[in-house]
Amino acid sequence: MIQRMSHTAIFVPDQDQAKDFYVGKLGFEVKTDATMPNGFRWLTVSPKGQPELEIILMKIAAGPKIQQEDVDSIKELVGKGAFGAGVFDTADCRKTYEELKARGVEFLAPPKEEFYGVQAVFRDPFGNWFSLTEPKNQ
Amino acid sequence: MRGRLVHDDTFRRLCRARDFLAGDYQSAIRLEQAAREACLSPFHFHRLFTSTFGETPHDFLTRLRIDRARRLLVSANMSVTDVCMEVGYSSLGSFSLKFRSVVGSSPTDYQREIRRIFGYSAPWRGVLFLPDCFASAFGAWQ
Repeated sequence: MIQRMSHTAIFVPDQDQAKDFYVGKLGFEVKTDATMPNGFRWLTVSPKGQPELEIILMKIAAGPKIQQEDVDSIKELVGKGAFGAGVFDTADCRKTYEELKARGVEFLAPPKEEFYGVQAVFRDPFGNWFSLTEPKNQ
Repeated sequence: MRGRLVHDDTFRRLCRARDFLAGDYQSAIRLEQAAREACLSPFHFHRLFTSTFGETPHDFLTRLRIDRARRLLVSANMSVTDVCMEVGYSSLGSFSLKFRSVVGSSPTDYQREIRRIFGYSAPWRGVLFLPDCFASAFGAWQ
């Protein structure tokens, strides 16, 4: 039986920029940052409160399964905000919203009361967007 | 139902204490100092740290030390004894026992096995968890 998820992937055009954002602005920690001899970079980060979950910051690049025309299409779709990449939890949405805004994180929606809690929505520099949720009845 | 989140301010203090522990993981474990960083009693610090991060402060430090030891054993030209000292163990026996309990083999056997499988040109493959499906799909080994 599957017990848990250990890794998930977010596709990014630039891994250095991605690291600056997810680590430098969101406050995640680097789990692995290793570059293979052929240039492939395995970069994973984790929210500090969930060190067992690794988020792979996967470079959008041509390879065995992705052709160059796919690369351009994926970058375009990510840029348009076609993908909602996930939900992050916080114990204080409004406070975290102010902090992240001050660090330059772009929000698509400010904190708003929903039936499940308080939610804001932000995006990374490339267009991947996330819900920032303070669950009700924590 | 999702697990409960710890209060935002408490989480920040726990992270600060965790960073404090990680910043000097080779030194003797200083639970009281870490608890002070978090402005908590040692008892509450230990309880909250464990429930928030899923491991005790001691297990957290052990993991950092053993992870560092694994990397040194396969990629640096260091003896097991030197690695033991480098990661903060004063006793080779204690280090070997702990390493075996975490990794499943002795430091010497681990070093030998990784070098046998991956050679001296790419020993880091033995310590890097990169699922083969990702490696193949995205050309990591090309």
